[in-house]
Amino acid sequence: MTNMLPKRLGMIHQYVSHNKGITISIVILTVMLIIYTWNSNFSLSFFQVKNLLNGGMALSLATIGETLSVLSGGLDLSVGAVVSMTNVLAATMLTGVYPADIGVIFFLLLLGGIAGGINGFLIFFVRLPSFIVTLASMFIIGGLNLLILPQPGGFIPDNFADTLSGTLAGRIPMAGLWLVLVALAVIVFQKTKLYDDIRAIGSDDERAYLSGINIKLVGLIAYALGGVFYALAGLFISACATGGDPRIGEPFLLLAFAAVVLGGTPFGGGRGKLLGGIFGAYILTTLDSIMLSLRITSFMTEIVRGVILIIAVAALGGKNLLGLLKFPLRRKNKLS
Amino acid sequence: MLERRLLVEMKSRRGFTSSSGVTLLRKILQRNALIIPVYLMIVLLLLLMAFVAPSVLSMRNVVSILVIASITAVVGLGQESVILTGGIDLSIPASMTTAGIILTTFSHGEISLAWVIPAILLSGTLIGLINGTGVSVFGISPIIMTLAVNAIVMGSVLIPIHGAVRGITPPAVAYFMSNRLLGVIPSVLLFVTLLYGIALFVLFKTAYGRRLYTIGNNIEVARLSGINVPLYVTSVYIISGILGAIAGVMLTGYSTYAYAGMADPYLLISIAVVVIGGASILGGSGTPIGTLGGAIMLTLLSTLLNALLLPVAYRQIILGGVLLLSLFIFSRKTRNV
Repeated sequence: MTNMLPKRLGMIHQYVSHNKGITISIVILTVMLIIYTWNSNFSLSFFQVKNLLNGGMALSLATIGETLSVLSGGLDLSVGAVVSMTNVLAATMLTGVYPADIGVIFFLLLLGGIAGGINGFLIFFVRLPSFIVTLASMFIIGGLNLLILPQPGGFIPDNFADTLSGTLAGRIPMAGLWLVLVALAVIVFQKTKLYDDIRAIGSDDERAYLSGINIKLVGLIAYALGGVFYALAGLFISACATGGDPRIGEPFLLLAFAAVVLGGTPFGGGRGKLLGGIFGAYILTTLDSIMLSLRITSFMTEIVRGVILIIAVAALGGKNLLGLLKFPLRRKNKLS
Repeated sequence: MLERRLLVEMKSRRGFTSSSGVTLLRKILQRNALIIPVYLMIVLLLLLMAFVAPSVLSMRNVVSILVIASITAVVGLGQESVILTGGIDLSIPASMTTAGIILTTFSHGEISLAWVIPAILLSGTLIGLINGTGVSVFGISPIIMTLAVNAIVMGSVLIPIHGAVRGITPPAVAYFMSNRLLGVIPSVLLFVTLLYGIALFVLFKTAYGRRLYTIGNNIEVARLSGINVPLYVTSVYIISGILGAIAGVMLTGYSTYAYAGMADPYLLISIAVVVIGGASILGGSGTPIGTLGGAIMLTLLSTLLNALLLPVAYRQIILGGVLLLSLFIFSRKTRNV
């Protein structure tokens, strides 16, 4: 047993040195959670835990989707619009009758995938720059949302809301179960060849092409998969909001970017880990909860989010100007 | 890779200097070729309006369409100067809204305008300076930097006034927007013409202007040829901030009041007019004449949609579609990244 310890430490050391970004975000998240519990005198109620889990779940899913496009070397500005689209459609289509609702859910996920797929097609097949394509689709989808539901309204059936954001057996928050499920799915996905291919095209598309990767198809799949995750985020936020709002997804634009970077994935592609998105999202959610308990105004919250985004990007992906600002992250050859 | 690019660049330059007559002519033709589509679209839209809604095409309406287009033209010019260098400014709504809120909050009488206008221009300069520093000194991607600054500025402006915008536009500014010289020509049109004249002169007749194109074409070449890239890049964000502030004053003068979300549509519009006007979103090409055409075209388009009584949602969808279409024409990349 005693001989095992150094070996274990060695493994941890190896893991940390291979995943610096994600390790830093885990540390930040832990600090945030400690501040949050300290702020409420080290006695978190069940509802506080449940609200925290619920609040971060939609953002986690949106961030995973956004991380996919960032890993592939681009950006997706349409995240908020697709989340809103799923929300307004869910609020108008869900009936509360189970078999029919499952069909609706699959339809919404498919729709998210199609929206992302169109972006991916325009970026990788038509070869347009990702940010401007997704800016255009953000406005187009936003316009469609306003046609579906001009002002907040509609309703989300209780059984749907309970399945996603309710409580199981009176003591387990459903969001916690979904979180574990999503994390496991992401970990499994990270082992697949598709995931490596997505990172490869973001790292160096020319080399990826030479090593036989179908760049166009992989890129399209990355964006389509991102769209499915935005739709999942939209379903989750619908369950929490219990209604439809064509502007519900707007804050996600800034939040998802910040969460991607806080999760250890710098912009530029190829570097970072998909799983980190979940940590990044929960860092921001915990921060929001802390600011809420300190009664900070919503304008101030917006400012803090913007500042965090800038600092995180400058520290993780910017130039090494002051030496201190940058974490010791070096670009590695991800293809070999 | 870099060496090859440098070689190509040098070759093209040598060609430009040796047989300058022919190449210059070709260059002018190329530049104009890109702005032909937008002016064709303007003619097409005018014809369409003459059939669908002839009443819109009265002299008074056309003049007021041009007045609305002038606001778009001013922000478009700011956005274009940033896009020329290969960047993008998503903080234009913030600089416009800040200008509008400062204008209505502080200008109680006309006398106070004497310091309010410089204060507004200073706010635009400051926003541009923050953007430019983040992009060129700290190396943050322009999209992220300007998006974050947009959120920060929007939040900071609303804190001191507790989220409620008070006051109205000072009469002098409203007069500037509604005044018609000799009963026909809006004074704001003369102002915009002057602005575009200056822009054309700076871009095509000064070293500063040509260096902006060089930076947009190939930042590495620009750096190696001794251009102080961070300084130039910061300067275009400042230009965009100041022009955004001026456009904010114009918009507030036109609508006689300011509110928090007043400039949100200009985020997309400012980019769309530049792209429709034939500039590449990747930087290095484009002319203000094209952007002016883009501003007129988009304003005509939204007037037409208004005349057809379509809801705002459709305008948003069509605008996005037009942007994608012009991207397809002007901004396709040869390489895939």
